[in-house]
Amino acid sequence: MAPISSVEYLSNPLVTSNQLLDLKNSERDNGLSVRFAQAQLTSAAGILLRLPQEVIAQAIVLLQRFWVSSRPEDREGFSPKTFSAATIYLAAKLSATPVAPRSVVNVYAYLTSKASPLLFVNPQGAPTDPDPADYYVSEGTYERERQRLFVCESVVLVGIGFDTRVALPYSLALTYIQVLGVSSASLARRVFEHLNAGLLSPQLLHLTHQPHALAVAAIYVAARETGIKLVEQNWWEVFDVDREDLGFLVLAYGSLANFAEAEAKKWKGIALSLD
Amino acid sequence: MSRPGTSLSIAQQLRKTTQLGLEEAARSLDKKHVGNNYTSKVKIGQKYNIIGFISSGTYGRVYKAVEKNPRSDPSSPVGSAAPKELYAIKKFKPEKEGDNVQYTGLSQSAIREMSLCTELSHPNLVHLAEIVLEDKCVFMVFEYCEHDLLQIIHHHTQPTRRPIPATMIKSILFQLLNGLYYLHQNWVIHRDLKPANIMVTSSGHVRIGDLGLARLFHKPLSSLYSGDKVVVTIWYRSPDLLLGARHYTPAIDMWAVGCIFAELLSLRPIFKGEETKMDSKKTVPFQRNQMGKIVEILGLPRRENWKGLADMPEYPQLQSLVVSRSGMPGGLYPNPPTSMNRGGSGGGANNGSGLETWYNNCLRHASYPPDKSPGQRGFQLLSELFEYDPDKRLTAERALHHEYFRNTDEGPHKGEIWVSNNCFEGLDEVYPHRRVSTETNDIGTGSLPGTKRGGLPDDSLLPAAKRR
Repeated sequence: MAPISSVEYLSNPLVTSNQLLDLKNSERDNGLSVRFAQAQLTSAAGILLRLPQEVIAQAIVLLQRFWVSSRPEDREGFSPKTFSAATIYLAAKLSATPVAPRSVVNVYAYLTSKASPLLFVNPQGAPTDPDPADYYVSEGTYERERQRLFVCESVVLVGIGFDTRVALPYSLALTYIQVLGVSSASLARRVFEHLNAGLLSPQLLHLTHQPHALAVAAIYVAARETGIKLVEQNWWEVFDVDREDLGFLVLAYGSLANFAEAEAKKWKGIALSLD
Repeated sequence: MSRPGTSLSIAQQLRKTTQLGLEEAARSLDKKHVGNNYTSKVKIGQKYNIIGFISSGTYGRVYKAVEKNPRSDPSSPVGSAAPKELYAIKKFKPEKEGDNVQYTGLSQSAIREMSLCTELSHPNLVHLAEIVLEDKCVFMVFEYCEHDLLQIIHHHTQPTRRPIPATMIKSILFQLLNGLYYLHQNWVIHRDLKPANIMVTSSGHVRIGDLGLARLFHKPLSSLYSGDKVVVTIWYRSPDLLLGARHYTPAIDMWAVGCIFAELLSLRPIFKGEETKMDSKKTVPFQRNQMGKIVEILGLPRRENWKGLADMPEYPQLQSLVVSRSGMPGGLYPNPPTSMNRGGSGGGANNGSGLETWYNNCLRHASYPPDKSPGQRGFQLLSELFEYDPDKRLTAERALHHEYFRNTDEGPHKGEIWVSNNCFEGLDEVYPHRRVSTETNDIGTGSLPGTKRGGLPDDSLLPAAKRR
């Protein structure tokens, strides 16, 4: 793995091409769909748990690191849903806003029940009048799920080699648009929307590129979409991003909407189980 | 320096020992039976022989251990096994179950320490060999360091007081600052520097240990203060913390370095205050006694020299300290006239005279030979570390370039900042090996009998007599 020479705490460990190949080879046909759905589930759970976006983002990146740095058989032990729950629990525990295991279990029970608003769980959409009994967690179920959560937490920690620090692009992006002199609420919003969407991308953008590159690409796409004119020159070079990386990421951010639509079409009327 | 880019490869190293365990965990799940514990096939007891118990603290216990089957060099002749390496295994106390507090998985501080330790790597930080997860227990396996500063200081008081050689102090301090500079550069504050946490290997290398309280400070989302209320053992706590600083800075570590420097010179803690315990309302009390000890030597902090002083939460308490002191004969407020003539001394210190007197007394008692004395440069360094204003206090980087570390010996490096990385270099003194107790060698994952502090206490020199 190539050493990184930039400031340590602005950068993340990156995936090697071998790890990416291994992941690709070990994944079943709908691997991309499962990872896309799992990231959405994690994001939704984080929102219901009222966690800050940074914690949610950390959880998703840890989940992605676990995918690439663990062996396939390590990933068999638990369902994608439990891995999602364990990482959000872990990320919250390390943040300033920890959540109780009971809250996590309740939220995941709700999000995977018949009452869930998530389309891949309920392709017909959530019922208008959901029955609370559908997502009620009995004491026995809670006890079992809680234990499962703790074991899964350990498995994740071992899988990622106990390295739980994640550098995120959000504050960098804000700084960059200020530096570029185009800071505005609408642009910042669009940049954040792209950064948040990028977390859901099955392309594991946070493992292939450093935060500064993600920030630059999100700004590039967002500025184009909101019609904000940036300086003429190759401004991304100022932020140490070359044209090739920028091109890749711009495509990744730009194509995510299409990918999401294709996924929706593919799973129309079919539930994708993460259990 | 370690790069984040290598973290995943560290992950692989660490995983070597736990992979088998994962298979077992996965198998037990196949049988539709989820164990309540994370099961690891490589048990700590199978890989390491526990030689003895070293110390315990609020986090858990530390054991001395040796690897059972070190990977011997296959090319070496039969019978000459590789020398067995020693390790210090830190076992985190399992979070208590029952007692209202429910088990919540691995503890936050353990995960934080593991995360920091896997990423950080520096010759002056204690080296982490591996992490073993077993049931609900975390074992961190560190390289073994034969000495720590507490023990070295203690050795110099027995049977009579003998000063620590000036060259050794210089080397220890330089290595300590070097490790700290690395931590601070990586946005980590140690928060619990004290002699007991500073290890020294038998080859004289200094290793900063116990990152259990260390925190990242590059992005304090919520006040660091509210997270874990009290940090830094009281004798080494900086005035900004004592006065209630909410957002503290690496400067608190630098104050602790000053305290350690002073303790290496005088062989006793310089500000040995008594801790005021938290009251029933769980509010953090003002540490009046500790602040008083500092004021006794350094004089009162002044608003002219410390811009934010009046805004400190406990500033009114400091005022009351003034009132209670001014009545005393020779009180420090208003300043006695003698301290007006402090000449060129003091550097940035607010009231150098008290410290200068302390320092000169200290050197006199130690009776260093004139050519081997910490000298006035040592005093300069100390006074700049004991700067009241955290913004003006010496940083680790500037401290490393301090004149104190300039080499004055004849030789190729004369006139450069040149300090040996072996603090025992040129010394005949033999330091006793770390005492380990063999009574409690059970490192099992069961509940710990008596997690009360025993052995080497974390924050007190007093029971030193008991350890003999």
